[in-house]
Amino acid sequence: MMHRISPATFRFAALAVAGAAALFLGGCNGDAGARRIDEREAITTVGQIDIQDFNYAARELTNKMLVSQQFQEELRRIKEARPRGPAPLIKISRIKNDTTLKVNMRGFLVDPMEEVLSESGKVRFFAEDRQAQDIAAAHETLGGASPQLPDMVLYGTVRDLRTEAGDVRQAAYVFHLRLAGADGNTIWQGQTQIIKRGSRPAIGL
Amino acid sequence: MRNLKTVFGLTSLAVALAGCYRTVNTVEVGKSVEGEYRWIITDSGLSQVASVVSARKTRADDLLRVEVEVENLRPIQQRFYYRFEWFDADGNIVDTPLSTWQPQIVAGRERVVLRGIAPNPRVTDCRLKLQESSR
Repeated sequence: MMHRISPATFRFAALAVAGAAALFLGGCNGDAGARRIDEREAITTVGQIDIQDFNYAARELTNKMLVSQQFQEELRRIKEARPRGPAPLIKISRIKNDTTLKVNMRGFLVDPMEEVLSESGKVRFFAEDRQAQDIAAAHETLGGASPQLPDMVLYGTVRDLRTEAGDVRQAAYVFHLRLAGADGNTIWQGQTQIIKRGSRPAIGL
Repeated sequence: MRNLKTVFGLTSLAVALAGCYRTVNTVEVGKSVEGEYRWIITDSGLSQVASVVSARKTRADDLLRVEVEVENLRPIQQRFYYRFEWFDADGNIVDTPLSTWQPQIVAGRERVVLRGIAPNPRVTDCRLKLQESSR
């Protein structure tokens, strides 16, 4: 037996769906309830590298570098060669983004590492700013000291590997850094990875 | 007719609520571990399900290194957050962009080692904070 839907019922249903859609699409995307949070409350996604992931990778790689015997030996070797000279100089080269994400890997991964390593007093970093280098060149022209060449170069790659099984999505992000000496050989390399898993939402994409 | 209205109403409410859902964890750090590991602070919830097995502080290459072994007392996987705080000789906190809360997973009845390395040679002491994760 079939029920006929009356015009009143149809109007109610249409209004209810429209209202819910408006709430879903518009009402919740605003800034209602906006507040500052720390990383314990940060959103975790599968398809992206979240800020807490970058912090984790940067911290792990910084710690690995600082405890590396080869790295410490290279620092000692440079210090012995220049007993009264400044701390060894590192140039940050390319951090290759081998993921499908459009993210500034240098900014989120290496800049915090640079701050911590600089503050440690063990190394200094080459200023990438063009004006800073122009000023250094001008000082040299006026009879000042020659700009110091970097003692080491830091470079690396960030990769991702995405897999799916049914409704479950998984993404592995691999952060790999290398430090090369003035002779072009690798002094240190470190890697850390983050694996995240989640389900596809029941509604939407 | 009334049933149809109820179904539409509930479905609409479910869709609306699904769009608004956010997970919030606001557990506060409170209870201290007594005795030897007084510098390790945990909340009361976590202290019932995990315990500090061992902890050691060493100094190598001018940097303070800390290793703390935590055991999950329960047979199920446990999630928690931890954070190292670093202090100089005057007791001032030495903050860095990497001094953030870190999530950690430990399988049932297993142990995990939390490692921290001081960000610079000025650091003479540290404090480890552990907090239960509700998600």
